[in-house]
Amino acid sequence: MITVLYVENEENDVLFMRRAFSRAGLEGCLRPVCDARTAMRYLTGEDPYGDRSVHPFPVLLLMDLNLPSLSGFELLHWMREQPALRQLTVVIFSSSARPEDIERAQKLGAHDYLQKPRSGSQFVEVAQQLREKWLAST
Amino acid sequence: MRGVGSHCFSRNYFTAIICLLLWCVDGLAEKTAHRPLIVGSEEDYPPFAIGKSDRDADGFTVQLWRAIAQEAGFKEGADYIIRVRSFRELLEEFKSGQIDVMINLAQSNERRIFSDFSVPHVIVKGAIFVRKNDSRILSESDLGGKRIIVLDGDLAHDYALKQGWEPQLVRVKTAADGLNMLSRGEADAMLLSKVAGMETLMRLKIPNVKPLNVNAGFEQKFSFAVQKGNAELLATVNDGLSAVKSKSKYDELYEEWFRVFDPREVTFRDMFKYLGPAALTLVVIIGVVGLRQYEREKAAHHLRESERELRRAKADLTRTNANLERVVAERTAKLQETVAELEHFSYSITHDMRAPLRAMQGFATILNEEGADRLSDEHKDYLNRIGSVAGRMDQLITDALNFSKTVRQELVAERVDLVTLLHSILESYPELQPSKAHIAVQSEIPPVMGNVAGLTQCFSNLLGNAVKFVKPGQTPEIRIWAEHFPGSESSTSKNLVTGQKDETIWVRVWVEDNGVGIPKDFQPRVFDMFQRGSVDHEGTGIGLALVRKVTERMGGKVGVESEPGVGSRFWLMFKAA
Repeated sequence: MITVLYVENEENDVLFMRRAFSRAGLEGCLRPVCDARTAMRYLTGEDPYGDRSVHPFPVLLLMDLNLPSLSGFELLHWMREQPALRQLTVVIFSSSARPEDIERAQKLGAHDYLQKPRSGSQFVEVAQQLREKWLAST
Repeated sequence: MRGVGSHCFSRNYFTAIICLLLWCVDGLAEKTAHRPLIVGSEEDYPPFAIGKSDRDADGFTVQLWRAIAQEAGFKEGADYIIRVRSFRELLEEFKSGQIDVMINLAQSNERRIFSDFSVPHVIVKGAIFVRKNDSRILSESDLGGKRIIVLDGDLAHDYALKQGWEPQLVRVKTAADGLNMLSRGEADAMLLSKVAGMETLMRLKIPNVKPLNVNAGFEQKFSFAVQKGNAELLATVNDGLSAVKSKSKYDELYEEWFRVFDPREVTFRDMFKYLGPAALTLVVIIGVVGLRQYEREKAAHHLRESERELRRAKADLTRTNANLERVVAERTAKLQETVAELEHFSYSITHDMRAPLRAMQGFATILNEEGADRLSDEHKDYLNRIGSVAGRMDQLITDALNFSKTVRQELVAERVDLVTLLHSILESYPELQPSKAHIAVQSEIPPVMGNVAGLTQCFSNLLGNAVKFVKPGQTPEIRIWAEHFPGSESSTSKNLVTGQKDETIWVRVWVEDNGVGIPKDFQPRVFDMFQRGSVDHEGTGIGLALVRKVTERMGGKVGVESEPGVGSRFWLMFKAA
């Protein structure tokens, strides 16, 4: 089973995404973390994420940009400095449609940029899109 | 004024006593009869006294006396009579008491026996006159063994006797006699008052005699003399003399009578007198030249001052400009900072506001879908409404963000092909698809000067409204066409500044729909912010405000014609490219 690490501080969005993943046939693949620091610990296998059998290394990092404390951009920055994370696919999932945000994310190594739908019910389409585009090979 | 020789003393002693007695008698008589004072003036002793008779008495001391008498309130004739005699006669008459005042008596101890002297009115230095070519006598010490001329009875005579020069003396009656003798070489020197000697030399035009440039050891203190003991008259004379001196009348008289003879140190007064006319001319010339120079200087000064002020003003201006530029730069930077902060703020707010809206919409939709079998139609409607208002809120946020972004962003005008632009809009919006609306675009719309992003925003808003505000069940029918015309036909055609005809060609694009139309009274406000024309249709009241704002920023204009229930015709006008 594959793992998608989802960095999101909005509880409802996590809920919608969980449901969307289920609907898209990706039940149990979503591992949500609430902020950038937790994401860093997960990715590097620090406590409490040291056991990869319980906390498997993700095939995809799905992340919001507007995060508390460290922003999504800062997480991207950090990731660029981590050689072990070079191969990890990163997809931005943000409500911002600002061109400058999209451009900046791309420059920092994001592979895709998806705008959050207006309704949580539409997350299903996002999950399907992710599966088809980035998770098909697995 | 020959001095009274000491050898005459014993002979005149009794005379003096008699004089005193007579004076006492006269004094008593004066008090009772008030006879005029007899004033003795020596004949022909210039410049002190001139004139041969009582009538033509004149000279320095005579005039000085008259001035003093005037001060004392004496009138000539009534209060005093000037008597002109030879010095010897005068002296005898004075001693005998027939004369009350001697106006030119040199002070000596001998004369003090019968006289009381006023303060001296002139002190005459004694001089040693010699022939000009005689280099043997250069000072008084060279006089030993020389033949020396003196006036008989003169103070110089007394002085010569005291010096022990008696064997060498040649006694003469007058200064003229003595100086003539000296001139002819009959003696070696003459002791004489400098003033009297100089006057005589000039008068007789004796060319070969000069005074030595050193003063002799004697001097004559010429004074007014009154009878011994006549303190009252002496006081009157002294007071008068003092008054005349203080009024500078004395100086005037002195200058008048002595300036020729007495080579005094040159004073300003002298200079003024001799050089007066020349000086006056000079002063006038200097004055005129000076005045012109002064005016020139003044003008130049003003010019320099003006230049200085100009420079100062320029410097101030430069400084102010620099300050202003700095202030503008600072404030612009601050403003940009504020705008950036606001932008960030609105972005964050939007982001944070959208999350709950997303959740509302999401849960409402999911509940509606997944709980459909357990919900009544009424409850389903409520859920729909929750989703709907959340969606409207989201649209409001989007529009507000777009508006603020649009009014900030730069809209560079360029040539835009509107036909292409309109077709791309029609393709990208689902609600504008042919299945939902019939939209016809005229193929001859001329290109305009505008900005692609701005024009896209404007036309998509107009088209969005056109398909939205229709009667339920009605298919929107939209027609887009354009007209172009020269500026003269437009209300904006005249250049207000130059008053000349504007040659600009304008393109007016019409967007005509078959919608609900706009009430007449609302039409003027349709482009205002947050004005909503219909409560039956969703809208934020921002769309048309944005259209106008963007159009105007591209140099264009907007307008509308509408018939409620029939449809609306919005127009946008731009400069033709």
